[in-house]
Amino acid sequence: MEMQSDFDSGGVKVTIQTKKYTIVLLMMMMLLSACGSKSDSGDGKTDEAQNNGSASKERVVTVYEDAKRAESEEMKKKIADFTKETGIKVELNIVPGDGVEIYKKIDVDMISNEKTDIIRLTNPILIDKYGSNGWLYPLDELMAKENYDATKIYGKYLPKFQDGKTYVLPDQAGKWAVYYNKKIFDDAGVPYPSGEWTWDDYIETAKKLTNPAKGIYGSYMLDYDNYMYMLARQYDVSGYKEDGTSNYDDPAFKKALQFFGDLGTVQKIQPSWLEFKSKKLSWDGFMSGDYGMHFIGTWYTNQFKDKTTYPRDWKVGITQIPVPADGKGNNNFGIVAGYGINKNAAHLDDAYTYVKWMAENSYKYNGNLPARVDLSDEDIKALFQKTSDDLSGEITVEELDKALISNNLGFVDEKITGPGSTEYSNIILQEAELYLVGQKSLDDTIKSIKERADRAIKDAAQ
Amino acid sequence: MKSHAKASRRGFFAAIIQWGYRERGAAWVFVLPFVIGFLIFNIIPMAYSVYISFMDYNSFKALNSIKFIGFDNYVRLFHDPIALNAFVKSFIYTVFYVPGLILLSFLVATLLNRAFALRALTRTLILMPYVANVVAVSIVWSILLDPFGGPVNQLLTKLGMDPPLWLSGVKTALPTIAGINVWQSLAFQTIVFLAALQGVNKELYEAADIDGASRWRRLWSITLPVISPTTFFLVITSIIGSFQNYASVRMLTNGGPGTSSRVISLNIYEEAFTLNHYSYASAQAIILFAIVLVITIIQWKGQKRWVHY
Repeated sequence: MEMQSDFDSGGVKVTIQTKKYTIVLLMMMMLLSACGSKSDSGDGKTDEAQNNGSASKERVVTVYEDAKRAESEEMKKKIADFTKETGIKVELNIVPGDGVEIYKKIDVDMISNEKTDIIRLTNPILIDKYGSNGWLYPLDELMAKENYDATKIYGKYLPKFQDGKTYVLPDQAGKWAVYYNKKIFDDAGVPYPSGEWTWDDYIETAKKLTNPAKGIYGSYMLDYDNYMYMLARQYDVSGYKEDGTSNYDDPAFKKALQFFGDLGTVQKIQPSWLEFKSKKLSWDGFMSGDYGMHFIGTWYTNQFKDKTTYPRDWKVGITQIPVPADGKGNNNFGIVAGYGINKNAAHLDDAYTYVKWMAENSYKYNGNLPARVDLSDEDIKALFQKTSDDLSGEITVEELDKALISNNLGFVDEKITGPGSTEYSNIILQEAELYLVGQKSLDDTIKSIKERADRAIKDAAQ
Repeated sequence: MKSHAKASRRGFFAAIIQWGYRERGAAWVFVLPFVIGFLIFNIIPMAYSVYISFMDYNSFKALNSIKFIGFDNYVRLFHDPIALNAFVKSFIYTVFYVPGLILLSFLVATLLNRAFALRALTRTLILMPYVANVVAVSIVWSILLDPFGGPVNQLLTKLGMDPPLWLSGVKTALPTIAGINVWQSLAFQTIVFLAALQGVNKELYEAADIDGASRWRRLWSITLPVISPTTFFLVITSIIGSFQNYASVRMLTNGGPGTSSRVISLNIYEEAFTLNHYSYASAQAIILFAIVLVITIIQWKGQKRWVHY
């Protein structure tokens, strides 16, 4: 009771009381601010700072990027040129991890109404996932306002959606090629591959290059889903039947999976699946110089330009992809990647400017093929010339042209895209692995993929 | 009127301050930071997870468009061979991990309880795997156990043995992960056992020696009963920990080859964040919680038979 009266009686005690309240209040504020969400814009600015950007007349666009791309010279140069040309400052929201891993974080951000403006979608499955589920802002009105004819610029590469709207502008339409290590060819006395060739030729060439004593494999392929069915895609066999169910029971898929598995276990021209996984071989393993040829998309060209990350004493060459010997699968394949705007974007107009600029100009920086149909032959030749110059002439303009454009190959989509495609892709990887490590027979594997994919497609439709 | 209200408000705040100085109030003041954190980071997310598990949030859509679907996600689980397989894998992992960890840590603690040269250094060194980063540990073990020219298999081959595939084998992946985790978690269990062993009254051993008890008899009739509360604590926490195992599986095999080491924690993560099956993943998490709870209750009830306080 005495203490009570002490606190009630004026002056000094009240001041102490006020201090206590202030301290409690401050602690609560610190606790709440620690619990609050924060949008890391690369330079430490918060959402509030970003939203106030317009008030201070500074034009800003916020962009999701993975850590590796954000650090690349290509990205830095591209952003600097964009800012110089448009006056819009770019703040990167850097997501740890690379490849499709970053979309796990972006997915959650979308659900939490995160306001980062731009999402780069690196394959058609992701483009479909974000566009079809309503996470992207439709660009049609913005384009109509300035008579921007996306169809004229991007043509067949412009991603299409069921509601007929445009959510993504493509910045690349990569194709596949075979990159080869000239030193390994020279050491083995094997002539460089050029022009049309079949998978049988590829295997024979790789066998001549493979040298277990030196730890050299003639071929290198990765663990992406499309390697499991690349042959089926070359034959342009769809992943879906006309009734919408999985078409994985088509014999082409069985043949394709067996073909891929045999490259490692029967032909022994590349690390088997087991070896690839056990040694945790990586997507940039070809840069180690231990492999003769690498079958991969043209996005890979950038790695050869980057001699800081990948110092090498060998030169690289490029040639067109092999085809099945029966002449019925004379196709190259590839994917479209592009930029979309978050439907909750904080800087819509500037984000639109960014998407447009990147879609039109990215190809000038990354050495990949543009998704633009309005470019002339001269423009493409100029692009190849720049790539050749960046590689100090290791690959000539003619070689690039022959490998990617002026050949007898048609073009098909690299991935299986459609309802439930994310899960379809995961099912293929999971089940195919059981076959590739010998846990399941080929027939059982194909049957499981078909059954599980059917279920996934049905679930997606619901 | 105004001054009356001011006085009563001042009285109210003073009463709260006063309450903080009383024992009961002071207790709350001390536990409040934990309670707030526990509510925000544990209880509310858990309750939300239960709520989500009854909704149809199984695609990448907005939260405001989800609908109540009752027990559909729970029913679906029993028709999903991958999820059921993941639960089985978690059980198998527990069967390898918990006995391995308890037996080995008890053995090491018994050895460390003896007097020998460099005992303090040895007790410190045993902590090293425990403080090592799980990613670094995974990389080192992956290299050591690489079936294609890794040092362990090279050694086994030189000894004329047919080396296993370790992390790459369908049958060996899960036991190998369990072994690596036993190695890494050994320190904590060993230290707790060591403390318990040092707490055993020496007079009991002296009395047993006088009675002519064998070393085995001393262990069975004195050591194990006296340290049984510690053993009980370690068994319960190890079982709970084994069902929650995610990081090392993700780093060592990512559930492979195929689904041979896809434990339930990994399956829940993949369902939620790769496939956007948030409700279905929540249902699996709730079932996992229920299983761990039942196992713990059974152990709690069963302790009367072998735990001596």
